[in-house]
Amino acid sequence: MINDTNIPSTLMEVNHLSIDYVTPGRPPAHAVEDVTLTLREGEVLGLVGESGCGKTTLMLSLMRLLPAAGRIVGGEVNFMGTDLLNLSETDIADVRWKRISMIFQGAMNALNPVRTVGDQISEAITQHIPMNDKTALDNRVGELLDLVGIAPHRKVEYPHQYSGGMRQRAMIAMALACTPQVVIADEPTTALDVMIQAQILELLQTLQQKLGLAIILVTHDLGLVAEMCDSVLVMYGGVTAEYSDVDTIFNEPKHPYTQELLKAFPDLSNPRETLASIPGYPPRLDALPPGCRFAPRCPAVFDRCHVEQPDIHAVTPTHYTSCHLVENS
Amino acid sequence: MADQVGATNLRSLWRVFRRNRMALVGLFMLGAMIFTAVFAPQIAPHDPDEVIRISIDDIYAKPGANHLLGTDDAGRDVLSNFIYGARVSLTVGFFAAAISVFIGATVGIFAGFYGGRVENLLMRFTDIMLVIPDLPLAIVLVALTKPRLSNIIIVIGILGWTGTARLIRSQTLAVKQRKFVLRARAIGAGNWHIIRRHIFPLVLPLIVVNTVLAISLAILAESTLSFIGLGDPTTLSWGQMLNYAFGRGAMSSGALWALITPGLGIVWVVLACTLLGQGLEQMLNPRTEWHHLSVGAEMVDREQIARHAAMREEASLGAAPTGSPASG
Repeated sequence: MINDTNIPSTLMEVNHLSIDYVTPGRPPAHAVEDVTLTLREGEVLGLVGESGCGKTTLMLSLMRLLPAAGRIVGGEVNFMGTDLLNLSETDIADVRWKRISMIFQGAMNALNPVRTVGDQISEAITQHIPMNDKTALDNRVGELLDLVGIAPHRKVEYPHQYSGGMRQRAMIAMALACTPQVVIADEPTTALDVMIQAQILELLQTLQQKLGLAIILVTHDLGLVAEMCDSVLVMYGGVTAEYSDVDTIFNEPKHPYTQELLKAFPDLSNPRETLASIPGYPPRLDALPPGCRFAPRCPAVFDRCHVEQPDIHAVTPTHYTSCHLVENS
Repeated sequence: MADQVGATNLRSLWRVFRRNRMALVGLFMLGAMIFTAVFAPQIAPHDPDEVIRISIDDIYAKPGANHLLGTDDAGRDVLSNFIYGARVSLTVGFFAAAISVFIGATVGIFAGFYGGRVENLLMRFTDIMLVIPDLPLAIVLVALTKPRLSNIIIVIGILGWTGTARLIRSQTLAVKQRKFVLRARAIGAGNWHIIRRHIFPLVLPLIVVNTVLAISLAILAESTLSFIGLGDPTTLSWGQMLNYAFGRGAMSSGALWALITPGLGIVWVVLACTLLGQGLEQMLNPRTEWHHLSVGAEMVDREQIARHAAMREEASLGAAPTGSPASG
């Protein structure tokens, strides 16, 4: 099991992880292929990419929560010296929430509508810490709600009595219930308005600094990434497009997809400039192009891109990208 | 919404319930019959077991002061038999329904939740049970075992669960896909915990509705078995009263009271359960139109919409000659 006493500064290493979705009678869909990333203690890692590029699949696989059709077909998830993919069902249940917890996309759906919020938070606690003392448990739930700015007496209320922002904050409180080392925030601010978004993110940031959490932030919002993250992993069609620290990604992007993505983001200093968009659509997972997955939409495409899938190249020791252009230069 | 009705406490459930007239009437009818059954010794004018000396005039005697609903073929008071018969019918109804809903809900939840081979096995077994005609099988089973009340309850119970199983399975499948189940798994909860704390509470409303409807079906089944002579001979249920009256010349002697009374009792309870069940279903099922915020079809003012559309069309037709690309 996981060793508490000897905590290395690297919390989690994902090496060459590949995930397929299998449908009987059809070739498997390669939802995630050969993704490698490292998460250090207290680091905020941004994971960006279009819808359907495998972000959520990748995150669910870290906790081994893939839907029935999902298969991890390669690689390892090394968490504090243990390969999570090799753990037994009971051992992985132990890791879930206690070590790695998750803030789900759309908090309204992630709470059971027929049970009180407090009940569901204490459920998360008692799964891992046996608590026979009812008052201690109640206090802990109140404490957690207080931490995210919800009055503790509202723990007896049901999710439908909470507003959208409160539900999201309750989800964050729940994610922190067992003091995990890693919190996966899967689009924590989707479906919330900008003011609530700002509140939630500020809260996440304060908590992250206060508790020394490592956060994996899955998002579409590049502004959010620039503001919060230490490093960024850009995914495209299930593969790593570019992976580096946040300054490098924003200032010296090497992959054409990252470059195009940044161009598609409004620039406040130059408001009259027309926004660029990337023509075309992301590839369907069951009909991937033979070469580079971005080739059909790439502005810098050349012959080789259509036939050969690029490997991941290191531009510098902390900057990886999968593009033939980088290899050539 | 269903979730929120389930979430609120008993008092607010009653508040919603009170507004549903159908459910209220059903509850009142069922409550009255249960009251009658429970206090049968106090209500009934005669003890059905009392030793009576009868003359020829007492057989199929017309309703009168002593016998409000007349007498049957053995000179017994029909009203008293009817009141005591309610005990048998309701007992069979409740217990048989409990057995069948318990089996059905268990099979449904497990099949829906585990899926795969478990589901295949359970649901194919359900299909087999479903295609066997209930009544002939019930007749065979009751005839093979002794026609005791407990046997009748068990036979009705183990034959009536298939519909419930299918219904609960489909609801479980829907609940299983919801995000909070994934979240429950993410907090490290096991299958049993998820079934108990997350699936069951959301399937429960459906189970309640089904139980009420199953009671009426079970009472009908018991009456049927008793009517064809497979009832427990030591107890007198409504079905048996019908059987005796039908077989022993009530019709030819014009003693309609001996036939109509138990028949009305059956109709009363079945109607009560159906009304209550459907009322509950309306309250608990979000897919039925009933909702405390909506007024159903009236919410959409189609005439107004059509008027506005016509006005817009007119405006765009007027603008067309100035060269809209759509008109070319």
